[in-house]
Amino acid sequence: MDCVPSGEAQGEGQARPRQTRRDLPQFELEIDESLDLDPKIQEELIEFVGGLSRPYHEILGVAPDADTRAIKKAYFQKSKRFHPDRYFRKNLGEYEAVIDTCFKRLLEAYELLSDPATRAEVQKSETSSGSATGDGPSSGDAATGSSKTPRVSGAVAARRLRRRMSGLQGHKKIRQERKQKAKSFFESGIAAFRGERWLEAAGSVRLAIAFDPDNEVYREEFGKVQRKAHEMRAAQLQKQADAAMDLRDLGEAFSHLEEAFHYRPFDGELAFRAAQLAWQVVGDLHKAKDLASSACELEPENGAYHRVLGQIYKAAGLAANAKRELETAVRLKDKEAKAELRGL
Amino acid sequence: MGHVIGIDLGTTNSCVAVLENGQPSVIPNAGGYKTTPSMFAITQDGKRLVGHLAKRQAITNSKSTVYAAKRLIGRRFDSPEVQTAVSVSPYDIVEGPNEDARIEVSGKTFTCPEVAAFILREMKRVAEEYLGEPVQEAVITVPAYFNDAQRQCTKDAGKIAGLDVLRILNEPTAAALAYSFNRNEEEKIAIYDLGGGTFDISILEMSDGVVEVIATAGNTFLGGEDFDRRIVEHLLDEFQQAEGIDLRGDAMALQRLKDAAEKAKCDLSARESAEINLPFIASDDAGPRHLSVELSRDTLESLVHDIVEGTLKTIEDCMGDAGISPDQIDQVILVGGQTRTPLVQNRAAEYFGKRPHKGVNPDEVVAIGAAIQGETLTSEEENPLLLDVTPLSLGIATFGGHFARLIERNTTVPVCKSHVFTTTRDNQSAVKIRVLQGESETAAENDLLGEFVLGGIRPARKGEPEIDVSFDIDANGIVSVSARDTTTGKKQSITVNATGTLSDDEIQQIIEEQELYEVQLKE
Repeated sequence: MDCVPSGEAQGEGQARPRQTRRDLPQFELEIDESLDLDPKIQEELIEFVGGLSRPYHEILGVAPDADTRAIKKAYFQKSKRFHPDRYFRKNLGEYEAVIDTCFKRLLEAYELLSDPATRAEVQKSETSSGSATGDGPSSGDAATGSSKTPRVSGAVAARRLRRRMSGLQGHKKIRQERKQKAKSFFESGIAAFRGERWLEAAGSVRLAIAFDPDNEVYREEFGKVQRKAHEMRAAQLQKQADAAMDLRDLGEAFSHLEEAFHYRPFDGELAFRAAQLAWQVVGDLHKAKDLASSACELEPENGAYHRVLGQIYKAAGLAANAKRELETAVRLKDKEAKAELRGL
Repeated sequence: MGHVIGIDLGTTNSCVAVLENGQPSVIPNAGGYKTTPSMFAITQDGKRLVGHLAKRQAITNSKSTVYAAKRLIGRRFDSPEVQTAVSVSPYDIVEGPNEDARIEVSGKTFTCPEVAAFILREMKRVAEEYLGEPVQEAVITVPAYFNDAQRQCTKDAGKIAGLDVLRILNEPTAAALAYSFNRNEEEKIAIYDLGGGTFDISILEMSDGVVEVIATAGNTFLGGEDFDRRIVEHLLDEFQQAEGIDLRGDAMALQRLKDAAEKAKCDLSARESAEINLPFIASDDAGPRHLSVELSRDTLESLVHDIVEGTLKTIEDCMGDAGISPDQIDQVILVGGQTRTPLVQNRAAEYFGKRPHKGVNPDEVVAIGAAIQGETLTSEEENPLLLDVTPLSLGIATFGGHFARLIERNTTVPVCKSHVFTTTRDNQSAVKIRVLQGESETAAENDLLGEFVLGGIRPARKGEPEIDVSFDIDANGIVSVSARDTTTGKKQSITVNATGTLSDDEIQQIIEEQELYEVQLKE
């Protein structure tokens, strides 16, 4: 074997089986008639990619108890639609990445469901998490971070949209059809909302907006639904964090809490818990400081928060900042702050 | 829009096909032959010859005539396969600067992609003469079991030959596409492909306009050339016993023996025995000696028996991967000239329990399939969709020299898979990701595709950091690998560029150099 170079870079990773995180890329899509892709297919792709976080059998479009033959048939049919070779070297814009993502997810669904062993596992985990499959809602906010496509500002998007819509005047029928589609998405979104299936609701309303971008009602409703979806996602993450804590997997707990705070940016206590873990477990003082500062901003009268922020500053060697925070903490009658201040 | 041609770049012979008005046809060369020898030579006065012209002068110019160069492409010079070739080839094989194998002819050194490009350029020319228009786009086939470097080199060869290579397609898959063309059955088929230098077996399923490769396996260093060599060895032994002269050091005699062996082998597919007569093969003090041997089919079969059995072992492995039994196969299709040998046909028929399909020409079917795939990719019509697989597992080296597979062999592409890894020492700040391809559990026994280092891991106890490694193969077979530290979000990635291949600059340089010769040839 070629020898391992000395120095730092030698330890090669050791496999540790662990559930892989599903980071589905998110897309902001519009129908673009300038592309080398039939608008009808664009519609189909928007719809399909919007539903990729659904249970696997729904992606394939088969019943939960479908047999292997039916699964294979569905996979073949959908492959004919979504395989990249169908669109070889065409000008596809953002849809190129969409097609790639769609096919890979389709393949994953087929692979997992066509093997009885993996199928049982998948379906167990899908039923236990209900309609929420653990994926974040298809939100459009920039902070999601896993997006592969560059985002454009709202104004630019609106301008582009108007231009495209004006080019669409001749296609009144198509527009009418799209509006109709948007309406049915919106309705199923509202139904999901009433059924308290928040993630599904957000996904559906988002699709409605994609098909009818000018509809203000949809956008307004989307905000509402999305807030709910975020809340639900945050609750789920906190539960996962608690479970990780029980297993003493503190690194895992931290990443759940950090993500949960992203969905509940007004929750000081969440930021505070995450800050403590960032400082004591992960050892990332930057993150710890940011989170603790957020906690202090959200609840300026909480002495413990200021004390911890002070301790983090102290660990980072920033004595002046540490002193300021610890003094605030003492003023707010935090008991431990006094001792910390003396040790400074 | 111009035509897309399909080229079967074979070890011994090459073939080109095109789709005209929806019908595939094989294009004959100027001599009227549908296949062209994959041979290249430089004559004593410096002329460059390709194909039949090269083959015709091989006996008198064996040291400057290159054949079976496909066996060297994309391989390291020190690999056992190249070392075997060094010991049996009349032409010189030398080590290149990238540890690759290169070929020295008349004092000039050629890379393997360059030699392949001579053949491809000839096939391109054959097609252009037939179609009466320039050809730019091509689909080129390779053995299914070729690794990434071998595919990359074949693509480079296409570039050097002035072709835009739309796709590198697996030979058995191409054969299946040709077989399924305009056929709308729901069936499972086995493609047994024994060519001049490689063996592949593929199991496919077709229905509803989809051709799905279920599993593929093979051996990239086993083929008809080995049959020839066994016969040559046999003739050498016979001659030495009868006449007391060892011809192993005589390049011209060896070339004559090789030609005679190939011819006898072909004759024995139709007849029970063949006569080999080579007058004046040697001479000593007692005068000239002649070689005259009667070779029976039984003798040939005893000489190559173990090679054929070896292919059956590979088939069994492949059927295991596919998870199906021989009786579930509806059709067995034989591809490659070597499958004309009765022993091969009989053993395949015995294994699958049915006579092989007779409807395809084993020499032409691969090129036809390539042309069909070219048409499928570029046309607007509803064509059959091909779901192909990656033939070799991909993964990374882990602690202790082990190999961790991320993408198993026979996984449909395009595909993306990821897995979490961790460090092996306390406070380790970097990990090296070595991307490997192969089937061995030992990392060092697999092919290295590339490597990179992910640094900036925060100090922690061993086993704590989480490094998410993700592999991606796109529809064109391009592999990219990324590693991400889930805590810091730091990320590193590479698009795998197989080692030993030429850089764009080198390719450009070769193209310009070849253009000089183009002028010379037309004189």
